[in-house]
Amino acid sequence: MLFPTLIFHVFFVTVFFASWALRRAGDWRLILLLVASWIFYGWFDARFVVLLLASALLNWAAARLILAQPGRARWWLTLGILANLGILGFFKYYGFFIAGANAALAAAGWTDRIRALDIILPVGVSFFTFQGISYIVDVRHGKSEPARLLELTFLMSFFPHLVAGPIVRPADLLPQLREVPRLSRGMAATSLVLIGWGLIKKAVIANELAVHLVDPVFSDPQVHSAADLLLACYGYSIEIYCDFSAYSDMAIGLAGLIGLRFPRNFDQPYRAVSLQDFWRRWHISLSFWLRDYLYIGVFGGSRQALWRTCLALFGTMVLGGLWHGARLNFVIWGALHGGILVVERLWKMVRPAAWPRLPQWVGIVVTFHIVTLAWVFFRSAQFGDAVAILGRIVGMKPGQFIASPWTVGMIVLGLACQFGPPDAIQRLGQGLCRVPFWGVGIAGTVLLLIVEGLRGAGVAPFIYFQF
Amino acid sequence: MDHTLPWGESPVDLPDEELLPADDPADSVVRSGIGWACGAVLTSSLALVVFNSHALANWADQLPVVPATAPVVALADGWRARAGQLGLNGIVDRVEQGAAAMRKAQWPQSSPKVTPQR
Repeated sequence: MLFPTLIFHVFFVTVFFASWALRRAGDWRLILLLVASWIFYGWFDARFVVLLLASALLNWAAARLILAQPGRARWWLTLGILANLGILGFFKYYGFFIAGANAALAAAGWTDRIRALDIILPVGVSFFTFQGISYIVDVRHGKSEPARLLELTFLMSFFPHLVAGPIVRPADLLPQLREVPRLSRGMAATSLVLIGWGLIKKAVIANELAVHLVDPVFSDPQVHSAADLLLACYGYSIEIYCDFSAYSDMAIGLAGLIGLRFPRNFDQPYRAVSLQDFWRRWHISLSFWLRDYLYIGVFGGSRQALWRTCLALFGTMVLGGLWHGARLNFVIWGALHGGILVVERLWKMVRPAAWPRLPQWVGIVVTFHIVTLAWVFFRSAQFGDAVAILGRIVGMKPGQFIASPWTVGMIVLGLACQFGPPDAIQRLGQGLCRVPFWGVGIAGTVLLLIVEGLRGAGVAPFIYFQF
Repeated sequence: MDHTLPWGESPVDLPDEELLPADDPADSVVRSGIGWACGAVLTSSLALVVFNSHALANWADQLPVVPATAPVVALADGWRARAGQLGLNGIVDRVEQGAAAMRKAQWPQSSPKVTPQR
């Protein structure tokens, strides 16, 4: 069930009214939202719901054991994390390892092959696994209260953020579940603005760029001119931002209408002045998750020898790349980010204090181009495709030119929204909450009709559904 | 340990609402917010049934072809046709036409090209 569809609209309106009818019903409200979340998730594949339940049960049991046996807490934590990673690894890398094992068998002269099972990657498995890991780690370190099974299952299953985040820390959400939910007019208005803006970003900007520029160019880069390839690279930077941030905006807005506050997940990332700044603005909940649980939790963070800190940075980003899938291009994407982060860190230490600082816009332009370069590897199906794209751009090769004023306009629009007021959504929310409800209903209808007319034949699934 | 998301860290937090009482005894602020949001969602949903018959018909067309879905498809297609006669599809139709024209627009002095299909 995708957010920008009629079936989701009907689903959400039903859940919205039912949840507020049960506002003071305590756990019954949670149960209603939980069942709704399972219907939402089961819409993709009913078997996924069983996996989600098993994962919640596993993490709940691990946390209980951590608290019940303090002497063996470290052991239970390790076991819990390994079980989570085992689930994630099985679904994400099973095919890769079977193919590798068969290749090794063939190289050794064996004629038999390991029969590969047809494993479907459950939508959002990464995100609910990360939620589970953060819960048991936080309970172990006293950063979160233990949750009841109902609460933890809700935390991991709640439909707005189930398949692509934001990752909500247990300590941020659990107390909200224990209060009577609230919804002020301002919160409702801002939630509606977020949903509307997310819809425009996904169904119009990202969709138009994907269909009319990025997909055709990246599927056959050899026939396109350097100018077309360059615009497609910029187009993909905008497409992935509009796609991913749209999901987050809608998730935060939908949760807001149910009375739950989710953290900010994107903060105009292409106005970042350095790569470190970029990672404070891009998918903030995942960046902070990687920082707290991988960079600091596993690699030791920055309170160690410089070379180990640099290794920790690089390793975190390479693993972050590998998390997207077992492909060389994802590793290169992570290594590029990790490498530049290390260079930035070292440069801060050795840069002579007397040197004048570069203007901020230079940092923004350079960072945007580094991020775009890394996206080329991220988006290309093969390593050779990425090299071909970059080679043809540098060599200024001639070829087809399909970028139209419309698609270039979408790129400009996507870039422009990076440089608007950072609190534009809140300002619009403040304005909207002064309008009577029927006025907001009519305005929302007009917006949805315009999006319906602009989005053409349909809307592709969100890019991060596959991870 | 038992904290919640600090105020201002969610995009739905408005600065002038920070000082609202956590549990308003009269519940007036919250009741007003819920009522307002319910009214807006209901108005919009009803208006969409009237003005967005395209979406209903497209959804119905994707249903499995079985006897049980035939009346639903017929109803949705019938409503789209009726809404078209009444001019209720005007907004979507006009935006679609405008978007198609903008997609076809070319750079000055460039030859016409075939629009790529996904």
